[in-house]
Amino acid sequence: MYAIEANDLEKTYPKKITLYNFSIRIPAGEIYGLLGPNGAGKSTFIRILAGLERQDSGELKILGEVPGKKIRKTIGVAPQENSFHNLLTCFENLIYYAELYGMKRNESEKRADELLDMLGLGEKKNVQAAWLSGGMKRRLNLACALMHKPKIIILDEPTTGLDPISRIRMWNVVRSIKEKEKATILLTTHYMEEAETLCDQISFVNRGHIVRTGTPEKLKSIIGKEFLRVKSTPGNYQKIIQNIEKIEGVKHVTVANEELLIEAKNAASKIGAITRMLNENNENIIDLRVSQATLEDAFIKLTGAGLKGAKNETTK
Amino acid sequence: MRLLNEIEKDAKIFYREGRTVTLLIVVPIIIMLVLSAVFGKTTGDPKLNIKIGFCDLDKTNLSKDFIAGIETSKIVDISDNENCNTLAQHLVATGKLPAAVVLPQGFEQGIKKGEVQEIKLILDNTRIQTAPSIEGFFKASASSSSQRISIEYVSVIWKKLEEADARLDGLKNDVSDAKTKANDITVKLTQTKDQLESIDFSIMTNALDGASQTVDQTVASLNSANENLTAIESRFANYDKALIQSENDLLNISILVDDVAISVSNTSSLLNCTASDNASVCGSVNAINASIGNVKTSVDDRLFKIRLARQELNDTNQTVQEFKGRINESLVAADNANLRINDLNRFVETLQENRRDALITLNEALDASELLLERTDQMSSLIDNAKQQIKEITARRPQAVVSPIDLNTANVFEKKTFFEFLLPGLIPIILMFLSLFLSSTSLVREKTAGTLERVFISQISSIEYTAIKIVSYAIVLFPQLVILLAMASLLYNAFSIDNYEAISYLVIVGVLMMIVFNALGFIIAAYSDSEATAFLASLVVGLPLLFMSGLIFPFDFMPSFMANAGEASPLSQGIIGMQSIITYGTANASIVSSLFYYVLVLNAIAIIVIRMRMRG
Repeated sequence: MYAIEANDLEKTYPKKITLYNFSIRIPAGEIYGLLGPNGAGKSTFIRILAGLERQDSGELKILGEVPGKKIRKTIGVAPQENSFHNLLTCFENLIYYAELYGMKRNESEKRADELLDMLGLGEKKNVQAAWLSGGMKRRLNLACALMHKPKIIILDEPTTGLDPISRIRMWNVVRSIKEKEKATILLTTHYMEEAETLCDQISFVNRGHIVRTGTPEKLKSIIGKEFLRVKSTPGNYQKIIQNIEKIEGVKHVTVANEELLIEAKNAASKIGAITRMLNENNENIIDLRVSQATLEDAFIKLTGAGLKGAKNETTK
Repeated sequence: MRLLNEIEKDAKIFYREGRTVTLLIVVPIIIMLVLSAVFGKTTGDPKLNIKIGFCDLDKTNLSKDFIAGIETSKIVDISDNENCNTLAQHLVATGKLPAAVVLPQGFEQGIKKGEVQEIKLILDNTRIQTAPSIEGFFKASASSSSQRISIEYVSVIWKKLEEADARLDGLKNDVSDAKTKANDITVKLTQTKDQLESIDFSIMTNALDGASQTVDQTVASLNSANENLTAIESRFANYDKALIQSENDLLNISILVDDVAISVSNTSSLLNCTASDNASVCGSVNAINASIGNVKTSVDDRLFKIRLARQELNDTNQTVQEFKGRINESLVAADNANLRINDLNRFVETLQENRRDALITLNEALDASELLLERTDQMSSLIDNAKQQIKEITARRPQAVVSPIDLNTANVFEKKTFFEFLLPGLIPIILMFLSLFLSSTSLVREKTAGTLERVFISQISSIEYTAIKIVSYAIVLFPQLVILLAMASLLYNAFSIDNYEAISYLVIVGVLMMIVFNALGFIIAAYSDSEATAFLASLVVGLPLLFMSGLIFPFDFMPSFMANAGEASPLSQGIIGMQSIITYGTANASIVSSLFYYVLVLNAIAIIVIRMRMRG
């Protein structure tokens, strides 16, 4: 049985299709990543999962059941934005959300202490949320979603806006949740590194549907091990792409994030030929690197588009 | 549990926002204190405490009296300015004075002449709060002065009426005399009528008829006699003719006799009678001669007799002629008599006609006389009525005539200030704005912070959550209601603090109002994407309700549909409810049910709207 199973979901807003042919199967107990740029449909899918929206068509099952009031108790959502009351303390916030799920006070207090400790917020138990640091707030946001012991935890871009240290801490938290809560974690992100580090499986989402699903390694293998990244001015790449593709050993050339992405066997040996071709076309090279394949590269190859905001973190 | 959880959470959030809490507690207190200071004036004060310009173009005693009669402590007299009329207009038009009064030239003289005088009130009608008061005040002042002048005028009329009453007494005596005289005339006319009617013209007409017949008979006799005389005359003429014939015959005979005599004489002469032979002849001739002489004598005698007879006949004829002449005279006299009889008849007829006319005239005169009597009675009655009316009219005081209705205002709440009347309206208004702002902005904040979404992800239903939330905000705001009611009771003595019945009613109305406006705030929040939008939308909702509440503009001044809508609005219902107990001391139970209906309807709408907006 899958924790989440969606078949051909479709959701349309006026003048905008958000989801179409959206099919996904998320095995129970895994950390599952939804990877895609802003507006790809990740949040819409999460809103449907959370019961905030209804699909126009298609089938959705959560733990084998059609979503409803009963099934909502099995889901915990940590929204993209911190969703708690700044004027309440960490403890009060957790108690408040626990009671929305009908938890008894003594049970919720015990659970709150347990979660605060687990997420490293024990010392901030009685501090108003407004006074927490950014990372602490993200953890408190996560804690609020975990209070009622959900079987499925949805983390919508849990590290967006965090500094690298806080992000790594959050990753550890997510891992420990998986371990301790035995829950299925659906994680959306546009950070490739985050997805690669945390997720057992990843689905690329673009323009409302799943482009490809697989483990991080499997997805990266789509484009080989290494390739060249070239950035030049004025950047009129379209007229020279075909010429570059004619160079021996070059497999595929795409343009993403104003860069040429050249997939080639033994990529470093192609630098001279490519440099000449660019010079012949009056392109002034300002950056040229030989990179290892990343999930973003795979994503770009599959969708022809980059993951906005993910570039710096995925460069090695 | 969920309700308590929500209340606990909302209360903590609400009361941890120190500034907001301070403002929420302090602002109602400040509003009430400021308004109590602003509207602290006691109602029913007749003085107009507003600056008023006066331009007296007449400058007479009457105009000065009029100005002196205006009970305002802030008179700005600009009468010394040559163009004070224009100046007054300018001062009001430029907002330097709220109003100015211009008394026209000839004010006093015109009033004395009985002409209506126009006092010009130049009014800044943009000052909607003071303009009606000023206008009303000056209308009252003008009315008061008009009354005074009218009383003087009526007093003069009263005096003249009393004089007229005395004249009516004289007139009544005259009418009485006229009536007596009319009675006498009537009697005399009746007598005259009787006398006229007693005249028997038949005697005269019969006598005249008799005379006429006699004359006719006389005429007939005379005519007969005349005819007979004419016949006699004719016969006399025949006789005369015969006598003339006989005379002529006798004359002829006499001539003949003479001739014979002559012949005989001649014969005798021729005969010598001396001669005897002739003697016989002579004797015969003599005898003949004698006979002829006899004959002649006889003829002469006869002729004489005839002539005598003719003479007698002539005399008789003369007599006949005279008789006939007399007859003719008699006939003429008879004709004259007839004419006179006819004249008499006509005279009698004329007399009869005259009597008839006279009787008609007499009857008319009698009718007129009776009418005169009747009229004198009527006139007498009219005079009595007029006198009675004058008596009744003059029995009333001139004051009662000029102004029979004297408005005696009995202020039921004599010593209360405007603020005390405002207070029952102020509490619902503060509650309305607090509820609208708190519920709309708080919910929008939850919406934008994502906490609301997290709530809807949980197991709680949107119906349950909305209902809980609305009640929760009402409970969170409950201390505000307590503060407002405590101030009303303790500071302004709106109701006794131990009047539990009143307090219970006010709390119920206040809580229902808070729930109603919380629901309204929720509806606003559902369609607002920011706290600023929610705040402005709350104003957009709250301000019209405030203006339609009847507190700022009375319902009576609104078009009927607006007045009905305004009166039915939840704010007005709350105000009416609070007024019923604070001002009038009797709880209006229908307000509770009315607000309860609003609670049901607006909560239902809020639930639907939130569900639609949040569940997508």
